[in-house]
Amino acid sequence: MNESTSPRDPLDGAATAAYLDLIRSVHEEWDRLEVSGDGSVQMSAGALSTIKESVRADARHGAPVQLPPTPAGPFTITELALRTLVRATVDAVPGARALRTAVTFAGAGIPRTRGLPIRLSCRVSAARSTRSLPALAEKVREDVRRACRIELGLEDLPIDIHIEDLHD
Amino acid sequence: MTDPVSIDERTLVLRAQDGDVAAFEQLVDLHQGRLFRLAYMILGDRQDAEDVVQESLVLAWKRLHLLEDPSSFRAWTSRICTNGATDVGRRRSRRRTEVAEDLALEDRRAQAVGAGRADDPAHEALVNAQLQALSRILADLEPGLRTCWALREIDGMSYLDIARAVDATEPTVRGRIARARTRIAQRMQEWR
Repeated sequence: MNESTSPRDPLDGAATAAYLDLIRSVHEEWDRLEVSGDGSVQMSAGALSTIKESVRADARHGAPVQLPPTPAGPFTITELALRTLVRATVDAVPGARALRTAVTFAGAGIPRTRGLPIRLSCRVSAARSTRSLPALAEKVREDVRRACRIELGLEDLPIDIHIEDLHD
Repeated sequence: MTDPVSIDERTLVLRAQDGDVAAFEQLVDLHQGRLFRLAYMILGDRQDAEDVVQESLVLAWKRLHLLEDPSSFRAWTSRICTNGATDVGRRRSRRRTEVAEDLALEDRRAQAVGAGRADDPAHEALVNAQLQALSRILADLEPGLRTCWALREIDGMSYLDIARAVDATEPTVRGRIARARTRIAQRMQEWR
């Protein structure tokens, strides 16, 4: 934002300074107004609400994922539900924050359907205050494995933990 | 436990790519203001700018899985928004030309009717005075100059990213911005 004008810029020093000063001051004003909730520099509440409704309506549920059948019959969930379960489980571990999870599936043999999940790779951010990153990784692994066993019927699912970032 | 308020942007993008709608909603809240101002600078009309930002952010959600570098979310959404605003501006000027030609055949006095909402005082009262003033100055610039200037000065984008966004070389972008700055600085003296 404060980068100087190019050498070919015909504005003289004073004019450039005045120009940059003005640009800076309008940004300061717009930022201040936006933070205070002033509608004159941002989207209306109605438009924002429409965006969020559209986003929720267009959530990518993904393909059905086959899981071990229950005594009552076949059991499938969506990829979105699987990711949400993993994310919530990781977030529930003190000091851990879920980023993104990759899932490896077995072949389903049915078009547009995922087979059984055979491996999870969880990308995680750890709190800077974490005393032991390996212990945190192990806790995340254990909790996700337990959630997959209890909620999905997946026994001993291999789970890779990748601590990608540290957060405050 | 995760505190949603303190999550950094890269994390929000990764979580949104994982399907977390709430994370994307936070991204919407973080970026809507600057995208609105960017679109308004290009279009000079509140309703058109809101429509473009709305479409841009919904499109960003639909295509989020295609974004390889989560750190480039800002520049990526600016590009989507700028393309949308440029398309709307192009369609609008074509429509105005057609309307003006029709009116010229019938009644030239009615041309003011086709001037659009930007001239409606009640409508413009909803927009910050400095945004309006800058937008009026920009309206006199060629579209290429206007877009490059807005991406640089309103959105804070680097010259390289602007060059990518508008499909031009970096020296061309620098030249456009320098020309726009000169003309805007001259006009700004009048309302400073």
